[in-house]
Amino acid sequence: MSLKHYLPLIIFIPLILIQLNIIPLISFAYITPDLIVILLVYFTLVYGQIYGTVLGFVLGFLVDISTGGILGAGMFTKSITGFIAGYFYNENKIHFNTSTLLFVFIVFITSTLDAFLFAMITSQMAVSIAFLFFETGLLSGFYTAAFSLPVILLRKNKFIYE
Amino acid sequence: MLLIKNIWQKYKEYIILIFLLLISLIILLSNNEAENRKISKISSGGFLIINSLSNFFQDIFSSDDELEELRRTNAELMLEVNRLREFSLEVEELREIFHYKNQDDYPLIPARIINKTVSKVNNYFTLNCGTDDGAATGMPVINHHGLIGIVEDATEKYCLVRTLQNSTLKLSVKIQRNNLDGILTWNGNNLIVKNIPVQYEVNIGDIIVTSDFSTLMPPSLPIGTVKDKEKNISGLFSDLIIQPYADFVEDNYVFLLIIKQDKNIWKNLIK
Repeated sequence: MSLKHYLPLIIFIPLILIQLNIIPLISFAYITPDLIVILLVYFTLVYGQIYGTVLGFVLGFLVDISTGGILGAGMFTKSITGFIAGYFYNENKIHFNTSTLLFVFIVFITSTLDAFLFAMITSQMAVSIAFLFFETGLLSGFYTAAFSLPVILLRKNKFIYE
Repeated sequence: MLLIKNIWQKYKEYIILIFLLLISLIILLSNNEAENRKISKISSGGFLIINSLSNFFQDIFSSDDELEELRRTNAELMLEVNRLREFSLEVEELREIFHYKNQDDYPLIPARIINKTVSKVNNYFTLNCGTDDGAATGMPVINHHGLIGIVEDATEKYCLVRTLQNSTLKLSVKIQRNNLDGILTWNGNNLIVKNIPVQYEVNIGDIIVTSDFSTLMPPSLPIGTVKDKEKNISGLFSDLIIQPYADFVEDNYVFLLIIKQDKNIWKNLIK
């Protein structure tokens, strides 16, 4: 087991505590940023698609059990999110992908998809798909993308592990 | 063998994804099974201990006993006022039959919200009371403003509440003034009562309470007021937009009404 295997899991613990205790305080019209997606996308862009898919599955499981929500919903959506983020992986452009606005764009795309799929599964189709996409997916995507900006700054100053 | 190796080399990302998605789907579809619920309860219970610790620091700065007593009194008074309001309407309507309906008193369990799932579509609260304190699945959750939701699941120390702002919760409600019944749902933006025939008189500000027909809630729990009316495309029905009394963002203290819930009804609701 190397650092790449357990580092995201170590970061996950403080991140989920912030996600559940502090992030709700800055929610805007029930929209919250998803810090776990930022973590997932970052490590996927550093280590690749297969790593991202498996990490998404593991993080999704941890999110499901820590929130006490529907077991499997987070696993399903985060696996897909990691897989989609993996398409942006390029081993020659790791630093570029994680330290420019491209990272924010990738976070936006993946978190929109993640929020949309998660809302669709948990709402059991009780709400219209258009509503879920625009009001849950897109808005959450924007908010999460805004929260990924500090990652770029930290990466530019080489404060974050690669 | 070579063919399998080639396929694996070419499509391993997809194979891994499909494999993981299948596992997720199997777990997702078996969510109601006892074993899965047990795993979920144990794990979230363990995690919520950490959450409770963070709340502990906030609690240091508040005088708990006195505040809790005041909140309890407030909640009981809210129920009492609503019951009296209901009673006066009944008296007007049925002068001869004075005590035609039995109004029960429900004991209350105080609790604090230690975690809120903030979502557009499905909101859940986690409370710091569990089966050890007398909480059980199906108990209505209120505060001094009105109805908050219903206990979906309970561990020994914690319970999960499905709030009114959850698209999977559908409640039978009525307009207190004229006893007009309807189904209350959350559409992601508003609490709405759908398909009320336009010929029925509904005024802005009318009080919405739980219906006598509700299998989940005791009757006459206050929910909110009619904020707006919207006509359907057909023009025959209108949707009522409800302004809830409870503030789902700001409120942190709640009470559980101790009522026994029919297990079969609850099973169907979960499904």
